[in-house]
Amino acid sequence: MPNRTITRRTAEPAWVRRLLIALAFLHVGLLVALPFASVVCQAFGEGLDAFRRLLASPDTSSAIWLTVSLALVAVPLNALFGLALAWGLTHLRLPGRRLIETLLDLPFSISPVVAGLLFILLFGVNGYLGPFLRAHHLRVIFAYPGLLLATLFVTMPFVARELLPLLEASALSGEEEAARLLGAGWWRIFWRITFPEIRWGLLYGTILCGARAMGEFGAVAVVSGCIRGRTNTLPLHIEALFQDGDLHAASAAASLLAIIGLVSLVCRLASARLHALAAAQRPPTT
Amino acid sequence: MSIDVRNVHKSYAGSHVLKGVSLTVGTGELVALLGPSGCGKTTLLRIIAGLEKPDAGDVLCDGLSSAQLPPGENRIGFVFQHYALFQHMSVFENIAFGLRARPRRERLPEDEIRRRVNGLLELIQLDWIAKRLPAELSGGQRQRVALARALAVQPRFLLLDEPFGALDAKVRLELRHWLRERHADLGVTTLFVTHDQEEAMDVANRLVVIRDGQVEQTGTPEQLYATPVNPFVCDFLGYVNILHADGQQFYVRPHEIALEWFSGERTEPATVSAIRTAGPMVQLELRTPDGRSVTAAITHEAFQQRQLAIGEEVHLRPLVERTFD
Repeated sequence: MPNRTITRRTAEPAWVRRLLIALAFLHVGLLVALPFASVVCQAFGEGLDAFRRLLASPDTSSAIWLTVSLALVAVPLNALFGLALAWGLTHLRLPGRRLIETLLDLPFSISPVVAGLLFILLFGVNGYLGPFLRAHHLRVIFAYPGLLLATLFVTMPFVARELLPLLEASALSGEEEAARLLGAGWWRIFWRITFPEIRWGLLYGTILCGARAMGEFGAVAVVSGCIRGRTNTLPLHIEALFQDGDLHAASAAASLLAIIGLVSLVCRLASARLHALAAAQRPPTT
Repeated sequence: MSIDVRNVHKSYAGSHVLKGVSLTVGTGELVALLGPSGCGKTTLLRIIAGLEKPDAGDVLCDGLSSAQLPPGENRIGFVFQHYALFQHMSVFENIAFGLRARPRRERLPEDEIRRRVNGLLELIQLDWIAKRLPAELSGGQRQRVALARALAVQPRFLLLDEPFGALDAKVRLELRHWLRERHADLGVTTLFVTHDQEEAMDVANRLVVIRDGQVEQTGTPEQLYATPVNPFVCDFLGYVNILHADGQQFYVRPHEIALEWFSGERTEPATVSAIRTAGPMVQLELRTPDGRSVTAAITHEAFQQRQLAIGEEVHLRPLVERTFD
């Protein structure tokens, strides 16, 4: 929840402050604003032509559709899974809770390429489950299921991580126990007591999860096989266009993806603002 | 409507919190579970409520083992130490929660629920803030809402965990008397946990003193105050001095000391080190030759007659025979 800005007198001399501010602006400008602006400029280098050409290509529309359909499946699944996992970790006396929490961070800490490779080793032709899948004419690698698994893997921690501290606080507040003693069933306790405490966290987590699902490159690249028009997601398609030397088309596709990222950033900011407004309507708990 | 705790044991992470606790709360009684922090009293209350399972032993509510009933079905009203009010619901909805949570076929009609909640709001004298959220209430108001919420389901028993612990001194005193009056009106069998002996003696009909997971003594406030079974209970229930006289140790309250002019049978010499005359009794701080400090309380009349001054020597004689040898 954003707080009111606190102005305070600083002890640092003026030149130190100016230097630090200048460094901060330079950092953000060089690393974020300038590249973003250049991609947009490249994209519009031929006017709207590049966009028109891009969107007319069946490969591109297939890539967009694939990316969106992966996010539409992966995000709800991970939201549901993250909620269940975080609830279980905070409400049940599970043995090895710390181990599970550490494993939950694995997708953050290992390289996405390695993650992709794990699925190849498991489901690929020479993988452990390869012969079984072939015998049943099932395709995982170089097909939608593989892409989905990779996306699920890399976006797994977002919702659960966001919810863990909130659910922990909810369990410790005693409100759930009070409701239980008043005769409320499991669903009523969750819906009336727990959910109001975690809904904003669930929203943040879901937005982050969605942004990552649509932007993921490494893990997806390994399992996709990069078949144009079939298993290329939007990030992979950008790479392919770039390799073709079609810089304008690549830039146009890149700005499309950047806009998706921007939209999710705006969504997050808007929901944080709404949350703050909702919280401001009732005074803080003392 | 009685609670019967039988030889309950409970351990957490290797530490033995309850070591065979047995106690009974009879119908309509108001019993205080009194003990220092960390003695296991909250754990015991949670076991009675069914929130925890005992490792051994049993809790019978009206002769029925609480292990057989899930919490929520044994109609126990529980007031948490920090109230655990539902932050997202108004005062009205907090109190109505238990009534609305009943299975559909047992649920009261909406107007009956409203009638009952409004009745409770009047009882706690907070009908004018029914629409507020818990965060907008003072500590004392939250306390009363928590009590009303527990009473709404017409519980057979009421369990209160440090019900006044989080309140300031004045509000605490008011609510204490208010609770005792409500108990007299409603007659709900009540067990409450506290570490404050004054509060326990002020509110309860009967006390159960517990230390280190074991019951030390049970009885009326008068019994425990006058005839404690051991030094711990004696010390816990109020300020106590130890007088050394005739080779014995006498445990006496400040007002149970006579100040003699001369040494005699069963006296211990001491010098007056401080005098406080503000209050219903005159408090004298005394020091024995071996350096122990003793507090005695005498009436203002007695003090006027004696004309004591700081530095004066007196001889302390215990007025009661209280020894634990």
